[in-house]
Amino acid sequence: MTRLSCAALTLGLLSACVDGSPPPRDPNAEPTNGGTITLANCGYDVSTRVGASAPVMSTAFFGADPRPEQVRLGIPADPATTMAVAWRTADETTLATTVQFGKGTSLDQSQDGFTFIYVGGFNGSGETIRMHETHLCGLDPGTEYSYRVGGVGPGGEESWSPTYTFHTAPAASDTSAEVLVAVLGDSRDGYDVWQKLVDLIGQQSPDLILFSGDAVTIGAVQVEWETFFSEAEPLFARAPVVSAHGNHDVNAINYYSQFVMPGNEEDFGIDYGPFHLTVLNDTPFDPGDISGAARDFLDSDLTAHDSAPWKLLMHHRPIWSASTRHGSDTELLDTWGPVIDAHKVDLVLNGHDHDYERSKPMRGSTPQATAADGTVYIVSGGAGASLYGNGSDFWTEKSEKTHSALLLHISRTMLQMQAIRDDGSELDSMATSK
Amino acid sequence: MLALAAAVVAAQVAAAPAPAEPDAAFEQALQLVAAGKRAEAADALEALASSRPDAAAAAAVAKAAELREALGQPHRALALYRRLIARYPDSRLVRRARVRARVLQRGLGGSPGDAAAYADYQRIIGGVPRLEQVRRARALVAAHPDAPAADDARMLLGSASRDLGWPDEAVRWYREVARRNPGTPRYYLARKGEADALAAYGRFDAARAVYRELAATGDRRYRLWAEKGVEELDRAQRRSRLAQLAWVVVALVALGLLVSARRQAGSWRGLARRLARPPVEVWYLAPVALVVVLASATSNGMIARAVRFVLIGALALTWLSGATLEAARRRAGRVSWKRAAVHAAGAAAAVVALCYLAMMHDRLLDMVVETWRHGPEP
Repeated sequence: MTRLSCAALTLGLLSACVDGSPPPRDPNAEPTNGGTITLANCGYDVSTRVGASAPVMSTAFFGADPRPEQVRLGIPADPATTMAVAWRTADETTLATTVQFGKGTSLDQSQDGFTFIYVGGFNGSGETIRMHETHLCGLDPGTEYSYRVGGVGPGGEESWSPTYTFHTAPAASDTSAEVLVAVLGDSRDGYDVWQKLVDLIGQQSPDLILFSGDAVTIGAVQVEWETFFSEAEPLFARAPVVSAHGNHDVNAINYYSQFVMPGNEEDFGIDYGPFHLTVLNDTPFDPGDISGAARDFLDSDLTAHDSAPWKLLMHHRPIWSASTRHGSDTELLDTWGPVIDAHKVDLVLNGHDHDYERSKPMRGSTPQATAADGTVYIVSGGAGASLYGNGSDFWTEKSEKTHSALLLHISRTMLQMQAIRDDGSELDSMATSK
Repeated sequence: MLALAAAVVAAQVAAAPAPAEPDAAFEQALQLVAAGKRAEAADALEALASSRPDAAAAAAVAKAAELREALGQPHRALALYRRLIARYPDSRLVRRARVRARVLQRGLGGSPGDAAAYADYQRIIGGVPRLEQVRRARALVAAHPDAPAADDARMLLGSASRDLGWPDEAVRWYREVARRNPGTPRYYLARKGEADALAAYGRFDAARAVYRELAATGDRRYRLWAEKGVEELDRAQRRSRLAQLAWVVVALVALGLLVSARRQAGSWRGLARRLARPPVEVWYLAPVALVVVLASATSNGMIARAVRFVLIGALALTWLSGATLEAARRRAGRVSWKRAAVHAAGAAAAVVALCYLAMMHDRLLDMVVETWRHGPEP
């Protein structure tokens, strides 16, 4: 049976299949009803959604071209002790999924991961895509690690990515830690701007990347994701990326399969050094979730983290925006605004409008004198997509029609924000302390 | 006053006794940053790092280096990064220090002139208004034309000139960068910048030629840029032509109505008298238009502008059209079916043209297409 399948496969996709190699069946013919795998090294389960196959542990099997590409880091759990690495290979059939890593410059440890496929396109009409994912757990906080991804084939042949480094989030007890967070959103098909911003942000070596949604124009089209992640590898392979779902991501299986984030990957919270980040999906599959599940999660997550020095919220559609395109979202203002006010969220990060805008500190619909008295809303939807007109209204502190990204320096007592254009020049800055 | 504040903080820092104080001194320095006193904060942090040569000082060194960079003092920043790397190799801040040191070293180049240009460039991009950026970037390029930072300044001049509505300037600077950096990634960025600037100001043929060059490079990345550029350019060109046609239709219909009304009225003075009295159609349309304009003003600004444009234009056409028909009725007793048909066709064409022009403004059409494709937002 094994020999027959192997011979058949050799004629087709799997030219590297050799006698005795493990997969007795076409690895891309798996059902895509989702599934769960337990990661013994981490002590938690990982699930895939309907549209993706059940994850299977790494196997020493190489397809025609097992070179790793589009390497990216993600945060599946506590970022001080856990890091996920995800990647694709040049072929769609390689099953070897291993990360070699170690503190500093060493690669003295090895961790096998899992792999799964998903079918892109609308209603599963697109091509079959394979993801590789490995979770590294039990890491030391605030520590630099080197790593490379790939694996070993059945004959002992190896295929590895370049060696990258990342560092874990500082320990919660490290009260002097300052972290650097980059914020981008709405890259879509503006590939040259995206590349410029990736280069600019990379030169700052951020600890964490926040992406406020709309990475691509249509989330179910894989070719756009390939370009997005390929261009971003120099950045995403060195700092974990956390994304909020955007309307153009269309709740596609492509979106949920390619980022590694906690919980249901739609509404979740992360503690990162001195700040707590809540992420919400404001274009959920069921619009009723905005006033239901998402609002409830926002309230409970912020309640659980009310003592965090800084509270940040990221979602796609702007609550306050004077852009000529979408403008302020009154539904979100009515639904989430009171929760944001009640928990005194410091900063809300949005995209959707392709411009830059920073609001005055807002409480309800009233601008406040200082950031301590209200929440600052920033629209930063200029990571590549065609620009929209900016505007100005009673809440606007600063706005500009430009491609841009944000850099946030956050320590226990201070939050500094710098907005930069895609030519590197500063377009806005803000500092607030507690 | 600022210097005094810095001195006070520095003195507090230097005088601070051992274990419990570094955090407090660090926080005091950060407060200076929050107050916009970057130089004073950097002084205080350097003093803190010197007074406490242990791992806790690593954060102070890193922050001081970052501030020195922001202040346009790259040499001092580089020295601080090197100090961080050498003294605190286990700090989580070392990775960033290594990256920044590399960037600074590259930027500072090999000569004092290069270093001066780099420092100058850092100050230029640090929150300076666009016009001032242009003035200072031009001066930098003139003073240090061959410094590595000069090409950064030229790229900045390209994008700033484009933003300021100076396409010729933008194209000139981008071409200069491309000429100086053949075959490098910067060359392609400059060419893309040039093409985008040309396209943004309606020079479609010139832009298309540059995109074609980019597409011919064979590199998938640049081909994608070019394809995207050409796609947008085609759309913009199509829309521009249609907009011109729409204006011509509106103008012709308005002119036709005016001439016809003048003929019916017998004289320009007679026409003016007719137009002074709003025809009955206007009395119907005006209140409806007012309500719709006011209602639309409560929501999306782009839609409100489009509604205003269409209704004001429609009201003007209705006024003119009504006055013409009324004059014809008075003169001949009735309006012939031929005249009525021509009149109706002209008015319909003008309204369609007005609607198109309204949809083109602020690219409202794109939003409509997006809604059509992806459905309305929740």
